[in-house]
This record gives sequence, C-alpha cells and structure tokens, in this order.
Amino acid sequence: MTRRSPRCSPRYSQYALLWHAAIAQAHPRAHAILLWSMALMTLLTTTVVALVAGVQEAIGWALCTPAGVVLFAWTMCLVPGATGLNSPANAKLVPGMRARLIELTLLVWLGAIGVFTIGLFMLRDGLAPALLLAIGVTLGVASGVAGARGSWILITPLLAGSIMSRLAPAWLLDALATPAAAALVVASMPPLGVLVTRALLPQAGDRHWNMLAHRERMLGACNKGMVPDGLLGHAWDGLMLRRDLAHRAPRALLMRALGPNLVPLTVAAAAIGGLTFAGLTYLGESSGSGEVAGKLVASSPGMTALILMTFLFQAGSVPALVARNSGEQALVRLAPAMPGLAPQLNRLLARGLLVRGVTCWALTSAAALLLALMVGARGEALAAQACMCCMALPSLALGLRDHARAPSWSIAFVWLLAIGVALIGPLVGALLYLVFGLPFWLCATVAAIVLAAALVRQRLRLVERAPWALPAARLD
Amino acid sequence: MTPSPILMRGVAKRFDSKPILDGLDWEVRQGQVVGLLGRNGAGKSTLMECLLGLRETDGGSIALFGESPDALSDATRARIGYVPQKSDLFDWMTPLQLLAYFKAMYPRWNDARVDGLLGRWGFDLALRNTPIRRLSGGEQQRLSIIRALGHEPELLVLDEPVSALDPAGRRDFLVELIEGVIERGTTVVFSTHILTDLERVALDVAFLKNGRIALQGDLGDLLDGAASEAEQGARTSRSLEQLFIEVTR
Repeated sequence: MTRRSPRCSPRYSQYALLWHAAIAQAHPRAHAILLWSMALMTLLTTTVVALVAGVQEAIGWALCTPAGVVLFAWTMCLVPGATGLNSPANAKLVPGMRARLIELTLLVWLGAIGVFTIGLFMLRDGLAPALLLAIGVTLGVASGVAGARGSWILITPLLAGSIMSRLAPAWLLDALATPAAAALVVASMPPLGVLVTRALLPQAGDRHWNMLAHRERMLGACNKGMVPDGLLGHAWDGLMLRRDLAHRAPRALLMRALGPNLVPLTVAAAAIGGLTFAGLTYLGESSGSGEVAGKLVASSPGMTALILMTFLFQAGSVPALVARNSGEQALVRLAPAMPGLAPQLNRLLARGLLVRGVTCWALTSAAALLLALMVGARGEALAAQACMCCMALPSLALGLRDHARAPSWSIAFVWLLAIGVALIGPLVGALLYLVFGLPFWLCATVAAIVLAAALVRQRLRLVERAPWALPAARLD
Repeated sequence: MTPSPILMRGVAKRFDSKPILDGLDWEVRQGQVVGLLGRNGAGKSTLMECLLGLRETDGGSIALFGESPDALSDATRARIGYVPQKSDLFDWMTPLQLLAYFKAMYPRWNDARVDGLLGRWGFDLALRNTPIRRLSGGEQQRLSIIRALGHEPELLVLDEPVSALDPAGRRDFLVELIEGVIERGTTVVFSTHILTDLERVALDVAFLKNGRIALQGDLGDLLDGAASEAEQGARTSRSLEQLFIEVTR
C-alpha cells in the first residue's frame, strides 16, 4: 500500500486504496460516477426545493441528498467490495487489512448517516422513525448482500413501514416523536455500526466460510438463475422448450441460449409484489380508519410503481443475462440454424430481446392496471397509472447494446440507469407543466414514448454495426 | 481441388499490446489429426477461437473449408464440431434438453451414436434428466464432447477436452476418438497438456511458440529426427515431453 501524495498519511492512503479497490468491483469508474451523481443530484434537488419550499428546506435536502447517495454506494458497492477483499486468507494473513477495511466501512457509514441525520433534523421533527428506517435498511441490505444470515430482520422496518404507523400503540408513536428518542437512536448508531461492520468482515474461521458459502449460493441463485426451480418451473420451461424445438424458429432458438424465459417470472413477481402491497395497505388502513377503499385508491400509484420496478429490474438485467454462458454461445453461433453474418445474428438477437422486453412490459403493465382496477381506481386515477406504465418504456433500449463487449457496469448500476431513464418522462412532464402549464401526464407520456422510440432506433443501428454479439462479453 | 479444412496466413492477434498470435501460418489438411502443443499462455485457445471466427483477429486471413470464418455458409458450419476448453453448458437445461436443443440446430444428427455414447459414458436415465448445473465437472465435459460429436463433424476442434476427466473417462474418450472419429477420416485438431494421450491419438503435432507454429510434422519423424540431430550416432529414442521442453523453451 503506497502513499497517494506526500501530504497523505499512510493510513489515509490505505483507506483510499481500499476504497477504490472495493467500489471498482461494481464499476471501474464507480468513484467518478459517485462524485458526479452526488454533485448533480444535490444541485438539482437543492435548486428545486429552494425555489419551491425555501432556504431551510433546501439546506436539509442539500445534506440529505449526498448522504443518501453515499449510503446507497456504501450498501451496494463498498460493502460487497470490502467483503470480497476480506477473503479468509487476506483477513487472517495480510497485516492490518481487515482492521483498515472495518475502519473504512464504519467511517463511511457513520459519516454518511451523520450528515443524513443533520439534514433530516432541518427537515422535520421527530427524527427517530426515519432514522431507524435508514439504519435498518442500510445495515440490513448490506448484511444481506455480504451473505450474513438473518439480515432480513434488519430490513423488516422497511416492509413494516406502511403498517407500523397504524398498528403501533399511540404511546410508542408519541415516544418516538420526542427529541429524546432521536438522541437515543443517534447514540445507538456507533455501537450498531461497529457490531454490524465487524460481523460483515470476519477474520477467517467457520463463520467466515459459512458466509462465503451463503453468498455464493445467493449469487448462484441470482446469476445462474432466476432458473425455474421446482416441479412447476421445470415443467413449464420444459414445455416451452419443446415447443421452440418443434418449431425450430431461429429467434426462439437463439433466445433459448440466453437462459430461461424470465417473462412469466417477472410477471409473477410483479403480481405478488402488487398484491402484497395492496394487502399491507389494506391491513394498515383497515386498522386505522373505516375509509379503506378510498385509501387504497390513493395508494394504488405506489403499487403500480412497485410493480413497474420488477419490469425495470428485468430490463436492467438483460446485459448481464446475455453475458452468461458465453462459452456455449460459441456453439450456438457456429450452428447452421443461426444466421451466418454478424449483422443478421445481431439483428435477430436484438429483435428477440425487444419482443421479450415489450411482452414483459405489456404483461407487467396489465398486471398493474388490473390490480389498480381491483382496488377501485377509476377514470383519471386509472389513466394516470396507465401513463406511469409508459414511463418505463425507454428502459427497453438497455438490452440493445454491443454484447460482444462485457457489460462494464455492475447489475446494480444498470438497474439504477433503468430507473433513471424511466424518470426522464416525468421530469420533462414536470418542466413543461411548471413552465407552460401543459398537462403533466400527457407531456410525460409523450416524452417517454418519443424517448423510447428514439433510443430503440439508435440502439438498433448500433447493434447492426457491432461485431458478432455471440459469444457475448468476449471483448474487454 | 478440395480446400483445406484449416488455412491460416499471417494471422495476428493482440491482447492490449501483447502479441498472442504473430503472423501465424498454418494449414491442416483433410483427414489430418494434429495435436496442438504449447506452454501455458502460448495462445492455443486463442488460436482455436480465432480459426473458428469466435475471436476477432488483428491481421491475416483464415479459411475454413475455403470460407471466411466471418461468413461461413450453413453447410460449412454443419461440418464443424468444437469442444471449448471450459464447459459452460446451459446449466438450466437437462442433458437430454441440451442435446435436443442442438439437434434442432443441425440438419443432420446421429441419434443412435448420441444414445450409444450417453449409455457408455454413464448417463443413465436419471442423469439424463438431471439439470446440468447438478452434474460434476467431468460429467459436464463428457456431455460437451457428446454434443460436439452428435452432428458428425468433418472438422473437430478440441480445446483440452480431457482436462476434467478422470483416467477412465480419458480412456473412454480416446477410444471413441480413435474408433468413432479418426478412423472415419475426420480432421481433428486437439490441444492438451497430457502428452501420453496425444501420443496415442495424434499422427502430427504442431508446437505453438511466440505466436507462431514453431514446428510441425509427423510425431514419429519429429521424435526420431530430433534424436538424430542431438546425438549423431547415438540414436536414443526421445520422449514427446523432452521434445516439448526443447521446442517451447
């Protein structure tokens, strides 16, 4: 570990080295992306809030936004990277490595959550519930990503958030709203952080190996799979495979080389997510007031957004899915059933991905609208949710790329990109509404559709000029 | 005149600034069985991937049965079989589904041969219907070989096909290669580090060094010739291992 500059202490240099080594596992330029996204998002939110709500709110957002971005990076990039660096051999044998990793991980979390707390303090009274949620989500998700068993317990505040405010006794809610509760939560941060960080970065031993094995199993389930498991999954996929083999349609055969068809799985996840959301909302509202139906309608946009997230995750996963099994894809490319020229094969693959993406979007959108209809959304509310579904359309273009080159972004970053692209329509709609007074949903929908068409057209051209798509990820 | 199965002229391939193939010339004629040898990192897998068009080259020309690998006709692709170094099978399928999948991709498929190989190589009914991700590395490699032989290729490219096989599996594979492939006149390019296997199978050997074919010829002739050059008058038989070390050093 070398000095970065003559002014840096050796320990700071080691922190910097480990920071870059850890987050670069998510993306080679993760550090720059983090800095830029932090600066841009802070500037944007602060400006908008300053114009709309005043200076104090703007300062609060100016603190919360970068802290939120760092907490996200901590959870999704730094902790997975640090646990990767903290292999049993490194943890045990490299002098000081585990200690520096623990210190770095803890300092970043404490710094970010500290700034977040100050920002939150400027935005609202009664910090304790929000802080508990932030602590639970960051530490819980990080523990889960690192492979710690039982980490779901820490995430339960997030899942129970929608009903906690209704089910918890009044005295508890009152107590949580006091400054003393906030102080207690703030005081519990350092010991909690130390406890979880040390648990995330163990020093060899059986527990460490068990964590690695657990993480391996989790990654295996995600990467290899979303593989249809269980009797029903195998039977369904086998049936579809037999149909494709009988028809011998090149596009269907080619799509088979990318793994099982994820559309039914995505739609099932969307439906389950939507129903769970509706169920939790129903439970929460029915325990608190008699106007359940009205509250459900009001919360249905949240349900639609949740359902659309499953589609966005699927759309963001496409580059990684195509890059799997590149060795066997070589055999597919050499098979006579496939087109013999690169542009033809690339076009076939791109169209297959596009058809699959549109099908997935149509089915998840239908599921969202059906659930909205079931909970009582009608007229404008229903139309608005149909427009929301259109916001996700531009993410269809994410799968249309030069697949010969390895995806340089980790899947978490592509998911973020999918969400970012889906927010462009609403952003344009909001701007046009604020400046010209044009109808928000109409403008947002038109913008999203035009953007989707333009992106798909541009990406299809790129695909045709690209080298052979298969074997994927061979060019780094 | 029938074009050679493999003809490479001045082929170059770099990774970053490091040359892996450097103006490589190579020809493999119809029916030849060539063992490709080279040290770790010499570029054997890259050479095989380039010749099949699975990697872009930085220069030179390649012809497979007279056609460019970037624009192979359907008929020519049906004549080529390939076993990659790393078995990366579609692990969400079962062996039977995988074989049915590739059967659907080829105009010709020898079901009897595939069934025979599955039976002889230990794929009982239960194993044939087990998801590939649950098979061992050796079982996956055997399946990979069966898949490559199913359409009876005229050119078989094998990139370290026995690296994950136990001695019994290697023997079964060599028997099949000799009796079921080589004796039918199939052209075979075979890379391996297990030289005893190569001595049983290959009639010719080619040594890859510094990005070029440094030496190629009949295995027996090379061994005898090298021995006579080394010690004129004292004609001791040399092993392939000694020759490998001398040529690739």
